[in-house]
Amino acid sequence: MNQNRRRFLVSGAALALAVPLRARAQAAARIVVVGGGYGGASAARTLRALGHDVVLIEASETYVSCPFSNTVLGGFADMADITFTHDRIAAEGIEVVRARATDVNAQARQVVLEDGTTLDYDRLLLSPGVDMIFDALAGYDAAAAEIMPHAWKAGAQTSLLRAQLEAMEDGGTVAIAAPANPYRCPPGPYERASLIAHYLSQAKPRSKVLILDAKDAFSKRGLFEEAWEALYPGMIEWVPQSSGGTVTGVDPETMTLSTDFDSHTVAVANVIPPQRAGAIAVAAGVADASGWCPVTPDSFESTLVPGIHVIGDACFVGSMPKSAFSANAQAKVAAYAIDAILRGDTPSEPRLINTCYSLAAPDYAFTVVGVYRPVDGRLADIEEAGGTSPLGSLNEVHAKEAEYARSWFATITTEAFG
Amino acid sequence: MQTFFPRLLAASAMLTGTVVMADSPPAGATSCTGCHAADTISLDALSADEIVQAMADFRSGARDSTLMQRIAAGFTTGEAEAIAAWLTRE
Repeated sequence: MNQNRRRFLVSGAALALAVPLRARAQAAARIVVVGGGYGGASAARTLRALGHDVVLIEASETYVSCPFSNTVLGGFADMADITFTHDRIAAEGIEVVRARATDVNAQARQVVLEDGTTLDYDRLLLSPGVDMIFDALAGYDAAAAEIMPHAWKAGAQTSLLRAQLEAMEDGGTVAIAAPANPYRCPPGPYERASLIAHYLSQAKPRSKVLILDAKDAFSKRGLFEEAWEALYPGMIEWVPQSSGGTVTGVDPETMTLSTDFDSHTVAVANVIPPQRAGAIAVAAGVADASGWCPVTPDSFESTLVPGIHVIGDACFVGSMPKSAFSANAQAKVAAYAIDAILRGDTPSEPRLINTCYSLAAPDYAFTVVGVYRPVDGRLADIEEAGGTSPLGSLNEVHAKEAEYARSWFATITTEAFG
Repeated sequence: MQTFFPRLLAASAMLTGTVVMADSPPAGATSCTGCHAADTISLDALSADEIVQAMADFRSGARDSTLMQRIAAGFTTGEAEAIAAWLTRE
């Protein structure tokens, strides 16, 4: 119990008759949230709305959204459209600390910042997203990513990949190296292939998109292949793992990607390497040997370190995919669970939803949906629910889903960032 | 701010000075605002009964949808009633 908590209990006792029970309990808690993306920002705002003192630690001045970053690569949106600040969050009374959290002392309930400063917490919520595992592919390190961008954290990497697409001559090949599961945004590489093809079909129609994949199946595959046939016939080639698709190494100097059986020299290489939970999760001891953070489905509290909750792409909680919608949904469940725990209650059993839109063109989208409930300590799909948009839908249905995709983006970014 | 938990904040303000007990949302209820907000596909004008009816019609297929059928199938009528009551609480 830290000083804040003790101080509160003293004042709480004195005010016992005058102050509502719930308000009293809430005034006690200081919750530190690490990470200002979809998960962390949504959690911070929910906890603040529930009356808690919230500190949000985020090193970056702005947050650039991975969802819809492929629309920038496709040439029909600007970086400004996917860039958000934490200004409105701060205006709501959340203390935004511009720093990198480098360590956690779970015994002392303290977060350590890069400059050595410590912050006390009653509950810690980590939403650190993913880190690229450099050198998982031979030759692919941070320097190589400046030539062969991953663009799997949106921002400068997105701008770099877009600039390369613009500079490319007609007739070139754009390679996308897609990783094995699990990774951030399962349908993302295929949406990216689609929207790059959208750009190329207009600006550089003799060019190709080559997807070199470390797996034999992917999210919404039938829908993507249907869209590619209709929209970009012959432009996109997918090489699955079983046909030698797995990229094992890269050479940025010669722009070559090596697979088990072959090598491909290309004009633009988008190399999406394997990933793991962000570094602070590893430092806090909440990541296991898989690189991800096992959590309980009711509260998203770490099963490894009590008092620390992990949400978003970094956590492992069963079959929920790593998406912004998942992170936002988990943020709200975790925030209410933390509120319940701090009141001495048991978090109620949650139900979570994921909805994931993919654009195959500006006016052509489809979805995958999942509804999840706890089963044996993990979130499991409810079999009767969920699934993808039907194959063979009319174009007007795809257009409607594209319209809803934009509506979703506007809504969720407002809920996360104000 | 105006699109974020407007009813929660309004409820908190109205209940100042009383013990607020039942804020824990029913299973699934907090996911709705990931898509439904005040100015996009708003639920604000709907009564609890209308939300329950919409969920039933999506589930049965009586009402066309892009994806709501796939979500509604994950909730019973009783669960939808609890969610609707929470979303429309004042």
